[in-house]
Amino acid sequence: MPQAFYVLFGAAFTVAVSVALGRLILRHAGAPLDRMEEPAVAFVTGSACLSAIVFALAAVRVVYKGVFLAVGVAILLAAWRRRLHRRIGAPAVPLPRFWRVLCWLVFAVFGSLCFLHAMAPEMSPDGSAYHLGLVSRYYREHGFRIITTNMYANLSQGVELLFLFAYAFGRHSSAALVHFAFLAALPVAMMGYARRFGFPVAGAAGALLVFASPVVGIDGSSAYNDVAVSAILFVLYYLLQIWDRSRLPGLLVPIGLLAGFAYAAKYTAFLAVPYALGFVGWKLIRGRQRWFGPLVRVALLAGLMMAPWMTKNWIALRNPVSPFFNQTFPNPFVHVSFEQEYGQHMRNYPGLKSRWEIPLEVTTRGNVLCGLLGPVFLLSPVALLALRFPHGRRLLLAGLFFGITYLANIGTRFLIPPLPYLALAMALSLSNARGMTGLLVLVHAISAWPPVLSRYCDQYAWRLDRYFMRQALRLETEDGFLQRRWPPYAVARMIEKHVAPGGKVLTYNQTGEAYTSREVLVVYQAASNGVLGEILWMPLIAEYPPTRRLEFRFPAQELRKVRAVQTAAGAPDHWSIAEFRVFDGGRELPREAGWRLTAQPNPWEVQLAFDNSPVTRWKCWHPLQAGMFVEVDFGAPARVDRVALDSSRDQYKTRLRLEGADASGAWRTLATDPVETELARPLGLRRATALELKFRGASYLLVHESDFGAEDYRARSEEWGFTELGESWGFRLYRID
Amino acid sequence: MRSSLLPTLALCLAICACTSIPNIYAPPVQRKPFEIHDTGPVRHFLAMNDPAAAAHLVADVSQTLEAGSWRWTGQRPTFRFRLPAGKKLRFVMDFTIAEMTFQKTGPVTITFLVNGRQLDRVRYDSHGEKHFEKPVDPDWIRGGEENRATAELDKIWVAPDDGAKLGLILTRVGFLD
Repeated sequence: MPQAFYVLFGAAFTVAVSVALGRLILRHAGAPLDRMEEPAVAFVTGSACLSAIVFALAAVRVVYKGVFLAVGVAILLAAWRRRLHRRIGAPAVPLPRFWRVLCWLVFAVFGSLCFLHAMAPEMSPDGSAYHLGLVSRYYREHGFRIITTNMYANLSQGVELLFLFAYAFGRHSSAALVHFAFLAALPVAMMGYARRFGFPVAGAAGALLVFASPVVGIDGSSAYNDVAVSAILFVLYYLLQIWDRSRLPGLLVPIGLLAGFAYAAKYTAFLAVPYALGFVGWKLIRGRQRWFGPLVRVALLAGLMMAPWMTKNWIALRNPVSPFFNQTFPNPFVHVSFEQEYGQHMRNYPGLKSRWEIPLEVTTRGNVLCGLLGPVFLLSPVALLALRFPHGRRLLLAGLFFGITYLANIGTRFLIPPLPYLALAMALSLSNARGMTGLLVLVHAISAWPPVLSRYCDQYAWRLDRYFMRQALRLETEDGFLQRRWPPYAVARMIEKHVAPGGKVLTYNQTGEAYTSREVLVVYQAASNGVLGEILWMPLIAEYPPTRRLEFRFPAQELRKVRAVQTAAGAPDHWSIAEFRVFDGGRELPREAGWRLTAQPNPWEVQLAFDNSPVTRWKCWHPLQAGMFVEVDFGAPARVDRVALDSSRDQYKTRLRLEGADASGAWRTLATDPVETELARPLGLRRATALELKFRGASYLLVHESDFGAEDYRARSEEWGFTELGESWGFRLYRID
Repeated sequence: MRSSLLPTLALCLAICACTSIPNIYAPPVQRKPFEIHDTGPVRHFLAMNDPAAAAHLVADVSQTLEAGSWRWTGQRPTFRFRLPAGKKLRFVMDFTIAEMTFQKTGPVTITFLVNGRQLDRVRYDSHGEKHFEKPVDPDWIRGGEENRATAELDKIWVAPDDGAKLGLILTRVGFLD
């Protein structure tokens, strides 16, 4: 029970501080909010400020519970002195009796389900892996450190910093409860908006459609951020509508902050900035009012919220929007090919046979696209009928605009940001058909109730399926519950038990990083991890080892530099070189310390082609482009008559020529048609791989039984030099000796 | 003046704080050959187009490289390899039974020998590309020394005009782990 208290305290304290900050801003802005809508709008607005404060504390690395407590108490005291705890504004106009009862019923039933799930030990896939994995790391390390081995650390993490504030007091479940607070704020804001603009019943219906949606419930009660993003966007939309009606200049402050905070919460919500600027600009220009000043104000405030994240990435990673746009901002931390493959993967989830399956998948099945909205959303085309209302048009335009990024990731939860607008528009379109709105909500609520839901959705659909009362109250221990229920937790504890402090674990799969203090290197999460993954596969894939030699012969001559130039284009192959060897009269030139090596693209890994290791290779990590090169500068003219490139066979489309530069620096072609010979596959690749991994800092390996090579690691562990340390839920942990 | 100084200073500090990532590098630490130090020309595996092939050929293999990748064998091609001690190795041979010779000889039985010991005896009932692979008892291997491998054919084709004896079309042979 004391643990349950800390869990609640952490979340409640975070929410209270956010509300206080939000009230400070909104009341200063003169926002004309009523008593019902103010807490929700203040919470979301204030969370932007609290997130920025936590960013500053993390940047100067003073993330301590005591510091958070002092900052939070100071904010609450300041709010108290300004009497911000007193509720102002007019009381909300009550809903019709039927709708009041329906709202209380649905909010009580689904709200308690979500609340208890959020309060129970955190066991969401991404939440226990990187959302809270990074939060726990920031807390352990008292703030930000440069992390180049986990691309999720490069994403904006505005909501995760709120999690961090709560985590300091109540750990993982406190963080999930903060997300639940956004889940609670969203329908309140929706209802407030609709009531303010004259369609309260449709507002209540829309809010219930969103709140009872299965994917919204599970997401909003886990340490994710999609529901928070949706709430941020909706409150922004809401404040813009109030500003449109009142033209209070002070409202542009929370509008600008929220637009920027949307980006700070999730990259895909960057659309909030053009939306806010476009809305304000359009209204002012159309009204023949001065527009430049207000737009600059909104842009500056949005920039204020966005800049810390961009600056952090620029300083640490040379890419302000890492892990994306790596061709525009070349850097050693994320491979271009990974970005392309990742984007492709997000646009085409495995298991989805056709785009035509998406409507049924996101509404009714819920497995392939990870969650379902509920079958009533199959009726979403009726939302178009709302076009006959001014606010219907606004809602649909906003929903369409914020939904554009769904094309980049077709997972169901990426429909949560545009969902409030769709739900309100659906309810609004049916508002004139007596009883239809209520029927729609009732059908939705019943169909979303877990026992009913289980009857039609896929058995593996991501959803809430039961009440976790005992677990939420910690009547069952967190460890006992998670050990039997959540494999990533058990694996994380195995890592914690066997891996020495400071040890790094290489793995193909993300796991419960939030529950271990050891660093986990997931192969796909960073360029350097990808190189380790390639090394690990070298002995297992017949085409990977350097069994092909391409030899360029030419008349002996004095050269200052030589470079191999790739001339083919347009093929998906990746050019690679295991060893770049230079000869003079049959003698290989030793690699002198004065040599200078470079490559284009990916100069940062060029040393892999000059390390004499059969298990490493320089790779362009990019589809073939003419003009790619690997170059060596001898530092002084050297006599050369042959260059041999030892390479793998998985690059059928590459075409090469050799160029040389004499002391004058002028490049000329030395040879165009290399002679190909076959090299013996080196012996001892497994052991060489293990030693190379260890040399590069990976001292442990975590493998699932379904991973490629798992059987080889197990059966030939002696050859590799792996010692098995433990096994849990099909995962084996090896020490690399 | 002071108001413009602070942002400028902050910008300079931010730029100075940027991680400096070079694009040009010196050669790294050189890894040592792992299994056999100073292997010389004789190694554990041989592709027929290897420039060092001659050092591995003991008997009954053509000195002529055909089409840049294969050689004819006679009836008892024999090779030498240098192998590490105590390793679990597989003897591997990639070859083709030519349609032309198969039409005359019919099914061919090949006996594979490692250091004079019979590793296997396989009957090939068709022409075409073949791959032979079998683990070798580590005790048969002479670590760090010369090891001999032989493929003994029960019959070969003899050219009626010039008496040329043709066995297999050999692409690669040797030991892998």
